[in-house]
Amino acid sequence: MDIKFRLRISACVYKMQQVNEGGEEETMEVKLLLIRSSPFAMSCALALREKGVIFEAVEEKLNAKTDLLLRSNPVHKQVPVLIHNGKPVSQSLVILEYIEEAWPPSDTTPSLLPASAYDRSRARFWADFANKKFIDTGLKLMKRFGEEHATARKEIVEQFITMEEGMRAIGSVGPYFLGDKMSLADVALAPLVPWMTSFEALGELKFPGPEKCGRMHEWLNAMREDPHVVASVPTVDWLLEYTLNFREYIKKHHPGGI
Amino acid sequence: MAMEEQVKLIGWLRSPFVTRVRIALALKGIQYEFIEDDSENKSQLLLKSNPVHKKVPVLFHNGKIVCESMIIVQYIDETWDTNAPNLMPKDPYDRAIARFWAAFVDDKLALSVWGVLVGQGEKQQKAVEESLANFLLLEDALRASSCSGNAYFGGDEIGFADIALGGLLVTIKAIEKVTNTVLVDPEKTPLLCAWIDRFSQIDLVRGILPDPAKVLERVSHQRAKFTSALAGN
Repeated sequence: MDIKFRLRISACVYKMQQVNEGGEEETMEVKLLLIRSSPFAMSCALALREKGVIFEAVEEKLNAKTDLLLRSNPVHKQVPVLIHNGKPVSQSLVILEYIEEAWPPSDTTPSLLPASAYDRSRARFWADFANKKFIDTGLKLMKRFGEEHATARKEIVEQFITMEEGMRAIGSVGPYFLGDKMSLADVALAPLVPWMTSFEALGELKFPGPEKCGRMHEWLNAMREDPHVVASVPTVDWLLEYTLNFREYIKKHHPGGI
Repeated sequence: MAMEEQVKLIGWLRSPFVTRVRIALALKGIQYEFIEDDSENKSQLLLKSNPVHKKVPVLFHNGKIVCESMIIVQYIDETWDTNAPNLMPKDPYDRAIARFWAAFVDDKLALSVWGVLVGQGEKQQKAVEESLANFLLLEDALRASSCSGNAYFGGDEIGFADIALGGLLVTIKAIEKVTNTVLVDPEKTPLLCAWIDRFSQIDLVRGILPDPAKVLERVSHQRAKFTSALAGN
């Protein structure tokens, strides 16, 4: 589905929801508690935008969590939390599946999961890989030093290649993990697009180029051009500054890393 | 059009993650071939089928390969959606709750219990405290569920979250024994203990839960490995 078409669909849904808000008693209230530096939170923002859902983005501070956050996610006390008509949903992959089901595919709403159980399992597998492996290694790059950092640099490049191989194993058509439609796998990984650029800009690692990882680069280009992705994730400049400040702070206060 | 279903499962019986999938397959009445693999000497079939993680369980269905235990359980539920029971509730919010607790078991509970097994001294004590806190949270979840009159996490039949936790039961018991700790305390978590009894005594489940002696042997071996490694430092 090309970008212009999807923008038109989003505009239609926006208009429909505006009319609904004016005319109905029921309040369609969608809040997303987030922090800009959290790829988990950013993927939820992206999913909502993909679905054309109007939502209130509530920016939290990790050192001064709001009552709303603590009440809505008493188990983990973390972002992201989606609050839909007063009911909270936590854990990003759980939230993504909820978003797919609460705003199911229709003529005006795209799907984030394919129709077949098998393709759904593949989308889930790669969303899980993005969260549990790739983002996890990315966080190590943020928080560790010395040998642990060197290991993380090597691992993240290997994981990038693993995703390339995964995409190729699924099929030859891109630009997304499963082909020509976005799925949870792409949504989960999308926030890492500016991260990958900033890791390289820090000069500490280099991901393989398009000759070796053509599908991943096709995917990266598609993500960079996608207006919902651009609206949902931080810019490379913002992330670079954030990363440098963050690492300065850790070096000073926790020189062994955290 | 009737298609001959070919279902195979690679794993080893003592694995909590393989146990989850075996429970789901049994609940749905699905016939399958179990291919026993060896954790110390993984087969080429396993390594080629799950090159990313190289772990069990791996499900084969008519040539398709599915990995990761709870992803496999969802696949089973969605593929054999006309076989009762439904492993997931219908309502999106209830489904989110089921997924949340299944993720909690994997991301928090399993980790803290593993910390008890491989830890020593202060580190182990911290893992014990975390595990107790995690089981208390599961107790709260059960209390909320039982307020609606449910015997299990999601309803009056076992479902997604029950399977996620149920797969780990024999392993948790073995870890308690080997480390001489109490992680599931009937006084602190009475509902959870009642759930464990209820779950373990379901006929289908009873036949699938791994042999406690074999799990104990493996867990003891792991404890010895990790504590001697620490001693060597």
